Parts: sequence; structure tokens; C-alpha cells
Amino acid sequence: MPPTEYAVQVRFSDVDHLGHVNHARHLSFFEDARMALIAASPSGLPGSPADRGCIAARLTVDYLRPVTYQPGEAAQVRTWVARIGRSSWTLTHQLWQDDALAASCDIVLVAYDYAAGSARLLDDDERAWWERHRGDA
Amino acid sequence: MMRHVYRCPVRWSDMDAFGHVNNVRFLTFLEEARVDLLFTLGRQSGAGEMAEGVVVARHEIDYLKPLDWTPEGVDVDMWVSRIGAGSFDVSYDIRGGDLVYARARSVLVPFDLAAGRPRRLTAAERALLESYRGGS
Repeated sequence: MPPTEYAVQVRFSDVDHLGHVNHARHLSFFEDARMALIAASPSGLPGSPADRGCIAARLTVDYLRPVTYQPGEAAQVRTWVARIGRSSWTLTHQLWQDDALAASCDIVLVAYDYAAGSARLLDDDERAWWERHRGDA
Repeated sequence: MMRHVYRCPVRWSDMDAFGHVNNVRFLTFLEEARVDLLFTLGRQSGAGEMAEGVVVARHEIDYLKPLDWTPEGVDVDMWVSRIGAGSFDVSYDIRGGDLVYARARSVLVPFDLAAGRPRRLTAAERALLESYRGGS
């Protein structure tokens, strides 16, 4: 399956004193793309009645090009599944602007039982759904 | 009366520990709507000076309903409610469909950032603002 595409709004207040989008804001762009995907999955949107529980355990970001603020223009996040384990899985996000790759991010998500305070096994239907979004850089 | 409608996405991180969009973030939504009207439309209509400097002198906002994160985002309706020589007011409704989450008003001052002082509205800026003129 091709990567999932998500258009993110770059805000005026995302720009820092150096005149480009502050690096920390990239994590929010990736998060919004991820939440849209999780909301569509059997794992369920965090905090919603459908939520089965998941939590972020680790993320790495490589910054390749500065992202600029262009009023009225969106940036794009492409997302796919890089790895699926028994109770965790890894997503790769790429942030694109003007047809250039600006940043990439790997994030490890853990299926998590908030009531018990511990990791849980991924359900079969969750695994099957995320398996369909597998991709490769 | 012509209103400018800006569709503003809501970020997941706009929500706070209460599970709804934090009150402070509403001001960011207003900012995005302002930038869209004053900068983007301003440039298109020959009033590009606004993008070179306009500052906020005052905000007023009434919160009417809690807003939860939604993939649809919100609409920000915006119109110009006062035009003076060296400042103007814009009014806004933040809404989803017919539901109004907040109403707000800002006093804005065209500003010469290099000189560090306010400046008067240009004729092109005034014409742009007049075309969105409405009541308070």
C-alpha cells in the first residue's frame, strides 16, 4: 500500500526567531498524521470510546531541510508501517514541502493497557490492519 | 456584509489535560484567520504592506462552548468592525456548522517594524478592510 498522505497546516506561530519552522513543531505535524491514521484503525483514537490503548515509547527525527511558512500552503506528511511486533509497532513519517523531503521520523508505538499500566498484545484485527499499511523507504 | 471564512485545522496537541482545546489555542486560530485575510488576500489585492508589519493591541474573547479535537477543524468567520486612521478592529466567530464555540475581537495597528512605531493605513489597505466591513 502506498504511504498515507496527510496535509498539515503550518502556522504563523510555528516560525521561530531564525525565520523557519521550529524543529519541535515537526513532532506535532507527525502526531496529527498519526492520530488520523490511528483514528481510522481498530486501535481507536486515544481518549475515544473505541480506544484500545497505545502509547509512544521512542522517536527519532532527522532534519534534512528547513520548513518555511507560506500563508495558505500546507505541508504533507507521508506515513507507513515499518515494523510490527507482538505488542509494539513502528511508523515512519516523512514531512514534505515543495516536493522536497524536509524531515523523517521513526516512532515506536506500544499497545498499552492504561488501566493495568502495562503493555498489552496487539489484537489480531489491529495487527492485520496495520500490516496492510506496511511500506518501505 | 461580507465575511471572510477561514477553515482552520485543529491539532491534536491543541488539546489540554481536560480533553478539549485549550483556551490559549483559540487565539492561534484567530491569528491564522487574520494572516489568511490580511496577508494572503492583502497581497492579492495590492495591500501587501500589511504583511510587513501589523501588531495586536488588544484581544477580547468569549468562550461559549468547549471544543474537542476534530479532523474537520473549525471555521473562523472574520469581518472588519471598525476602521480608524491608524488602527482597526476585526471581529470573529469560531464555529463548527451552526455551533459557535467562541466570539472574539482584536484591535490591530499597522506598524513600521524598522522604525518601531505605528503607521497610518494606506489607501489599498483601507479599501481591502472596507470590503469586509460589518457590525460589531
